[in-house]
This record gives sequence, C-alpha cells and structure tokens, in this order.
Amino acid sequence: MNGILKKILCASMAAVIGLSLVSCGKTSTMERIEKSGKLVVGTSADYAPYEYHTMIDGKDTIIGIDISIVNEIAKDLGVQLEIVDMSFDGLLAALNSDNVDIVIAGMNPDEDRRKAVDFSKIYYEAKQGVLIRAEDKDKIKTIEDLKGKNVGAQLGTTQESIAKKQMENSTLVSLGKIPDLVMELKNNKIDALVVELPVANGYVKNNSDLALSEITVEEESGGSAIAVKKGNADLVALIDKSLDRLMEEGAIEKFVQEANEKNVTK
Amino acid sequence: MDFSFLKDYSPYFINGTISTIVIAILTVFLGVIIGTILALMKISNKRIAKAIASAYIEFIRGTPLLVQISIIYYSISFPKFTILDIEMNRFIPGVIAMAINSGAYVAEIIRAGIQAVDKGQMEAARSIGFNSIQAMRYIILPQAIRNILPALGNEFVVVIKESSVLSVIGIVELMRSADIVKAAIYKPFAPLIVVAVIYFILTFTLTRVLGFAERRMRTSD
Repeated sequence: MNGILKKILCASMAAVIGLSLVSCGKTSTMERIEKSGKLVVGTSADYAPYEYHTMIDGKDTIIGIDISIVNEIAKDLGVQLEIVDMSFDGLLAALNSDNVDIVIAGMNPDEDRRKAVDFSKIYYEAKQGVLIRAEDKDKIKTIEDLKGKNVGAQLGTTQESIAKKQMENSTLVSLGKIPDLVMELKNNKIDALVVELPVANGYVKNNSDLALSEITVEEESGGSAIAVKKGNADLVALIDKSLDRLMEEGAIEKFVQEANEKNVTK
Repeated sequence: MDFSFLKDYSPYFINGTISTIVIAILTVFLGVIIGTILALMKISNKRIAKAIASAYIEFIRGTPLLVQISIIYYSISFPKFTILDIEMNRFIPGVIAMAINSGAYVAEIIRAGIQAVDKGQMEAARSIGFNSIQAMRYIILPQAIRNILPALGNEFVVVIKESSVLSVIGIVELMRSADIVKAAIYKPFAPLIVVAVIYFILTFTLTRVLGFAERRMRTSD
C-alpha cells in the first residue's frame, strides 16, 4: 500500500515538474515570427467594440477594432494571424513568457506597464464618456451633479483614475468587468459609469434605458498601444510603420465605425 | 426580455454546456479516486497516513474553491494544445483544482459510508479467517457503497454548480459563455437567465436520474 502510494506521488511530482519546465529557448520575437510564419496575438475578447466574440458563418470568431488593426499588421509583415484569447490580467505575463508575440487589448501604456514591456505608438485615443440612465439625462449634466452619487469604473483602468481625480465628491465603485457595471447602473446601484466612448456608444445603441451624459472629462494620458516584449525594437519599428500607414489612410477611424455598426441589435 | 441574441449566440451556450458536463464528469471521477485513497488513509491504523489525510481534508474544506483554483492555475503551467476546441492549458489545471477540492468532500462521504456499516460485520469477517483487507473488500465495501452512492450523486450536482467558478481562469464553461455573450451584445442581464435555465435543466435531470437509481437499489434489498 505504502509502496504504491509512494510511486503515485513520485510519478505525479515528476509530471508536474516536467510540465512546468516547458519553455522556449532565447530567440528574439521577430525571429520566431519569421520562422513560424505567423503572428501570435494575445487579447482579452470581452471588450466590445475593441475585441469580442461573434458567430460568422456558424464559426466562433473574434472581431473588433483591435483585430482589424493586427490583421493589417500581419499583412504588412507577410505572415498569418493567430489570436489567443485570455484574461486581461494574464496578457503581459503571456507576452514575457513568449506564449504570444504581441498584445493588443485596448491597453493604455501607463508607467507600470512600461516597466514590464515595450509599447508601440498610440494607435487610438479614445475619448471618455459618462454613461447614465436615460431618465437622469436632464438631472446629470455636469460633474457637480454627481456630487454624493456613486460612480462606476473598471478596476485598474484609466477611467478609474479619472473618476478618482475628477469626481472626488462622488463615491467610486470599481468592478472587474464592464457588463457588470452596466448592470449596476441599470439597477440603480450606481448613477454614472465612466467608460471609453466607443464602448459607451455600443451600450446606448443597444439599451433604450441608457444615455450618454453631456459631462466631458479631461483626458488623462490615455490611448491604446500594442505591447511587445522588451528588447524587440525591430518589431516595434515595423508595427509603428504599419500604424502610421493606417492612421494616414484614416483606416482606424473606419474600423471604429465598422465595429460600432456591427452591434447585434435585430 | 429580449432573447433574440440566442439566434446568433446559441453555439456559445451549447459549447459551454458540453464543457461544463465534461468538467463535472472528470471532476467526480478523479474526485472519487482521490477521495477513496484519503478515506482509506483516514480509517487506517497508520498514524502518519491518518494525519496526512485529516490535514488535507481540513485544509481543502476550510478554504474557498475560488482561492484553490487561482493558486493551482497560476502555479501549474501546462503546454498549450486543444482537444475538441477546448484549450487544455486552462482546462486541465481547472479540472485538477476541482478534483482536489471535490476529493476532500468525497473522502468524507466514503469514510462516513464505511463507518456506517456495523462494526460486527468486520469482527465477524475477521473471525471466519478474512484478513482486514479482504474483509474490507468483500464484506464492508459492498455494503458501504449503498450508503455512499446517493451522497456521491449529490456531489455530482454540487460540482456542476460550482464549476461556474472556473470562469475566472477563462475556461469556456457555461458562466464564461454568459460573460462572452454579455460583452458582445452590450446587454448584461438576459444571458444570465439563459445559463440559469441550462444549469437548472442539468441538475434537475440529474437529481431525477439519481432518485430513480436510488429507488431501484432500495427494491433490491
């Protein structure tokens, strides 16, 4: 009995150790992309309209503004595109452990993140919107109107720090996911919600009981950029070149519009 | 409420249902193996085995499943491959975590089932010349299984419901399907109703089947 137990224990330990040792050798990201002929992109596909799941011809597909952009980048690099969907907080870890080549997820290149990874130039500066219930449209028009009220924002985002700094007379409610915050808003648990404008527009279009407030918030050093593992300046340069082309052509604005039109209200 | 999104998004719920069922089956299967080993350790005479089993059971039952899943997922790194569209690098750690958790509860179910068999049975078996392992195998366990099976069935129902916690590590089971659809259609409430109904159908069917099996077993007395 004891012998068998010991064997089982040893075998499972060996398996665990063996599996955790699976890692790649040290090659630059660019070399790896060229060798495999594909660009592996990490994203967190629960952030419409930036990236989200949908059914196209009966097949589960990830689409959105960011996906259209990396599609163009892969085309410029002459490689195929592979998208890996994971949770947002695991993205940079995946990048540093070489599980993905680049990360695009509507990510703001803030100080802390810059310490961990390199970023491309900012490809899209979203404006911030304040989402409220339609019935409050006449009541909540300025930041002063939010005094003493509950304001929601997504945990650990630019919107959270905006709410903290610019709406200091109201109580901040931070949750992990936008849909949960929208539910709070609909159920009178919070009175306003700071989100990026494209996201806010999506919700207003699909929910007759929600509206966009006239409140404008001052921009923090916002905007989204593509993350690349540190020490890959060659890849960052190529990405920047593609982004420059897209911005010149006005393609990114077009992607934003397209994504907003694709909302599933039928 | 508007459920028209089901036309486009029902495949997510179907996939979620399938993987929830697969998770529950694997978890209960592995949980029974872990639970049996632990239960035998706990009722054995060896003090070390007893202590290890008790410590395991107390610790697992005394900490939240959500915490256990997070710890195991972030400490085991698994190579990436997919079977039937399920990402195994998430799926396997998730199932391992669920099984480790379920094993502790199953251990207590099995231990209670064995100890519910009258002491005289063991004494009688020993007195006619069985050694303790033989007595366990031929006399005690067959009787214990009748006590154990209904409770094990309940554990299955519990696992189906609790697997929703796995959505935090991104396994596309039912709850994560709801999250994906919630984000895509900009409507956060209706998908929750859909998964609630699916969970209910799963557990209700299972309880009915278990009730039937239990009645059959009772008539064979």
